[in-house]
Formats: sequence, structure tokens, C-alpha cells
Amino acid sequence: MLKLTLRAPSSIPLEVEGITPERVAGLSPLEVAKLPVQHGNRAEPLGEFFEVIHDPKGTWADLHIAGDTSNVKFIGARMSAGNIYVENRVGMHAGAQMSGGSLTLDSGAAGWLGAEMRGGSIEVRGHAGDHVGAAYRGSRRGMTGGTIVVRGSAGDELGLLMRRGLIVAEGACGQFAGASMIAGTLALFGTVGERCGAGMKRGTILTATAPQLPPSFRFACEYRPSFLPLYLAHFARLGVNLPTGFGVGTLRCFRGDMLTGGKGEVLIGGGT
Amino acid sequence: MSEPIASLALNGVEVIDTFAEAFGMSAARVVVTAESARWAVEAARAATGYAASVIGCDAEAGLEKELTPAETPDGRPGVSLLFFAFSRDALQKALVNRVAQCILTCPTTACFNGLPIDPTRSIRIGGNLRFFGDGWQISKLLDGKRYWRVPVMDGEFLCEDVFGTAKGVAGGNILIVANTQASGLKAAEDAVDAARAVPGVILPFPGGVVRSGSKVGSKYKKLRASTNDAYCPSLRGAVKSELPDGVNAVYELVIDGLDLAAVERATWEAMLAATRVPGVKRITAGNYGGKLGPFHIRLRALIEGT
Repeated sequence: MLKLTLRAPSSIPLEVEGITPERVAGLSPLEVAKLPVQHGNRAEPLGEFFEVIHDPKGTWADLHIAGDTSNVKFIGARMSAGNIYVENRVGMHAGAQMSGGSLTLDSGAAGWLGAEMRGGSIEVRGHAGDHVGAAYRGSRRGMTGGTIVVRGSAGDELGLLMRRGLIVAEGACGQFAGASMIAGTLALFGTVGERCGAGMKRGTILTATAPQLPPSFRFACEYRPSFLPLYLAHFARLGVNLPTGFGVGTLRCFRGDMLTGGKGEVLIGGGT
Repeated sequence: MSEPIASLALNGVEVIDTFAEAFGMSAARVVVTAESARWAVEAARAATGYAASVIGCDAEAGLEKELTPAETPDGRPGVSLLFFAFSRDALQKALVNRVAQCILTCPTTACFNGLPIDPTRSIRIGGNLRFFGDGWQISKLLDGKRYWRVPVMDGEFLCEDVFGTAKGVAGGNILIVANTQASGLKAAEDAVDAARAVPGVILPFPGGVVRSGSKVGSKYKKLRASTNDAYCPSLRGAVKSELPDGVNAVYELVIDGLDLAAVERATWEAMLAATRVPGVKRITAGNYGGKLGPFHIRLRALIEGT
């Protein structure tokens, strides 16, 4: 296990894109320290900012990142395998476009967490910013695979243009969750901001509380979908804390967004 | 039929030193769940109907086991069904038709794969049935498994996309030769119960029992199989009979399993149960001189435990 400890926080963002478990595998701490990172508008060696040590008795992760990382961006971005564990809050774009492996953020994350993610898993044991699993501006698709679990709250536009995969927010989430969603599953167990699912084409939004849906959604029925027990079991495997009573009995099903075909669904499961 | 040599006994009943000749078939295990055990069993009955023998059916099928909620993927009561066909293509075709007509249509059911999936040997079931959703079907991918949710009038039908297959063994059998129809039937019933307790096997005929054992060919050119006259008590004296004096009824059990070991175990349990019934005169097995199938289940080996 390699431990990277940020020596001192900087007001200038540090971008560590490419510092992934598969990139550092087999490298010595000295070699890792020579890998380039972006500091403002300059490429500098990683060792300028991080103390790099080999810690055989460390955590299970391949890469353990410590220090005040709130202004460190792109942690775990584009990773395809292995495990990264980050002790403290991370900057924007953590896990963006990752295709495999796992990223565990023990504190929280800024915006664009797992943006356009294709696979793997992200767990945030705190709050996440806006645009979790979303598409970048101008892109046609957001997240296309994998799992993101946010233990706390999440910001606006969670799952924007999401195409596949699963995002779970145990806490509240902001406006436009699942907006323009193409497919995939959102599970929102806290309060949900306005315009949830606006423009969604397909996909499933599971909520514990009734969100304020756009007027272009229609109530369909109350029923218990056959797939719900599979999801409840999956949530249990992910260690998701479900609201008491969620998934017991029937769910209220809304169809929408009628402006884009009405093949999406919002399933409200109750619970407190 | 090979020449029988009587030299064995089990529970005091003569066992012919012969073998059951079994052959390889593609097999699938389908787990069906429903809101209640009643509807799971209804689906099972329908889906495994008209599936006694591949001589005249698209598949051989049967109920392997009823499952408790703790044993099913969605925590509801269920059943485990086994299906056998000559090839994976034939198996897929039969299963798609049977699931579509008998499980999809049955209230509250869902359908899951029950075997490990090897992508090179899997068959697509839900992936073919999804079109019934007419564009409203929804796919969900969980832990690498794809499920299809098809809207139906009582909610939705859930079906796994692909199912695993195994190289099964079909055609294991024993013949219970008895002095009366009543004693033969009682022995057959007990033998069926004992064989069905073995995991991974089914007995595809009605109640697990066959009364119309067949031989290969017929005097009629178009008929591939015809009545096994050597075992018909009413033809004794008119044909070369295999039945000893005092025998007036014969029942056959046909056993299909996911592997040879399961078929052998079920055969042994069936023999053991059948020979405990008074009136059973002889146990034997059907074969075609070793020309039909590569699996030879020797009754002597089962008795001697080898």
C-alpha cells in the first residue's frame, strides 16, 4: 500500500489525474514521487506536494491519500482497477470517468463526483457536491455504469443525463436530480429537491419521500414491483441505511417525463 | 435389450446385472417465484407440462424442488424446475416458449436462472421475452446480472436475461417388475419419492412413472419407438418375454439429472425404496446394448457401492 500525504493545503488547485492504482503499481515511492501532477497551470512532480511512503501495514487500499485534500481535484479520475482510500474531503471531479476499481472517500466530496463514470464503485461517507454522476456540459451522457453511494446529502443535478448504473443518496439531494436521465437507477432516501426527473426519458428514481415532480409526470398505480426485493438485497450488500419502513408494502408509481416519452418511472416507497 | 443375468439381490429382491443407458442433454434450472407457493406451483405445473420425453416433446422437464422464501432470490416462495433438451438451441427455444406461455402468464410470478453462467454456454430467456413489453420493458443490471421488467396487468413480470446451462444426463431408468399392478404402483410411488429427494434430478413422466416403456423402432416404418412388448405381461406367450412367471405389471422410472452422480444416486435411492415393497419380483434397467448413450449406470455397481 502506498500512502500519499499532502504536506500543506494550497489555494491553487492541485490536479492528480492519472495517479491511479494501476499507474503506480510496481513503482517505488521515489518513482511515484516523480509522476507529474498539475499545480495551477504548471506540471510539477507529485513529490513536491505529497510525502510518498510504502506502508505494508496500512489499510486495504492500494493508494491511501491523507492530508487536507479539499482542493485536490481528479482523485481517482479515469481509474480502472484497484482501490483508493481518501481520509479527508476531496475536491472536484473525484472518480470522474472511472471505469473500474473502488474509490472510498471517508469524508466528503466536491462537485462532479463520478461524472461520466463508466464502472467501478464510489462510496462517500459524507456529503457530495453538485453533479454527482452527471454529464459534463456539452456531453450527451452522464454516468454509464458502476455504483455511487453517498452516505450524506448531495447537491443539484445528481445523475444528470445518466445512462446506466446506480446512484444512492442516503441524505437529501438538491434540485434536478435525475434530470434528462436516459436510463439507470437513482435511489434517494432523503428529501428530494424540486424538478426531480425533469426531462427523463427512461430510468428509475426510487424515493422514500414524495418529491415535487414536474407537472409533466402522471400517477400510474400503487404496486409492489417484482424487482424491488432484489434492490433491497442489493442495498443491504452495499450497507445502505434505508429509512425505516422503506420498501414495505406497495410503492406509488409515477410515469414521466411525458414531454420526453413517459418511459421513466418515479417509485415512492414511503418510510421515515 | 442385453441378455439379463440374475445374480444380484437387494432387500431380497432379484436385481438383474445390467445397466441403464443414459445420454447427454443440455440442461437448465429455472427458479420461479410468486406471491404464494400456490401460484409458484401452478406455474411449475404449466411450464413442465407435456415434457415427458424428447421423443415427442420439445424438452423433458420437471419440478426439482419447492423452495422456501429464504432460498429464492426475491424472498418469495418458489420452485426449482429442470429442463433438458438435445441442444442449447433447442433448450433455449423450448424455454422461451414455455416461460412465455406458462410463467409470464401466471399471476405474480418472476423467473430466475438457477445455474452458474458460462457466457459461452448460456441461453437467452428474458432477453427474448422482453419484446412482449412492446417498448415499455425496463432492464436492470445488478451485480453483473441483467434482469428484464415487463409490464403486465397485475404489475410486472421479472425475468433474468440469460440462463446458465449444464451438460446434463438423461435417460437414467429402472424397471420395477411386480406380481400385481397394485404392488408395482406402490413400489413405483415410493421409488419416485425417494429419487426426487435427491438434488439435481427430475423424473419427467406423469408422477415420475412410465407405464409405456418403449423399444426402438416399430413394424411401422414411420414410428421411431413402440411398446416394449417383451415387458408387456399381456403379450407373454405371444412374444419373447423378459418377464418371469407370476409377474403381472411393470413400471419404469426415468431419471434426468444435472450430472451423472445425481442420476446414479437417484437410481440407487429408487431401487432401495422399490425393493422394500412386498410383491416386487425384480429390478432391472433399460438399455440398447450400449449403442445409444455414453453413460452406463450399472445396477451392480450401485449395489456394491462402487
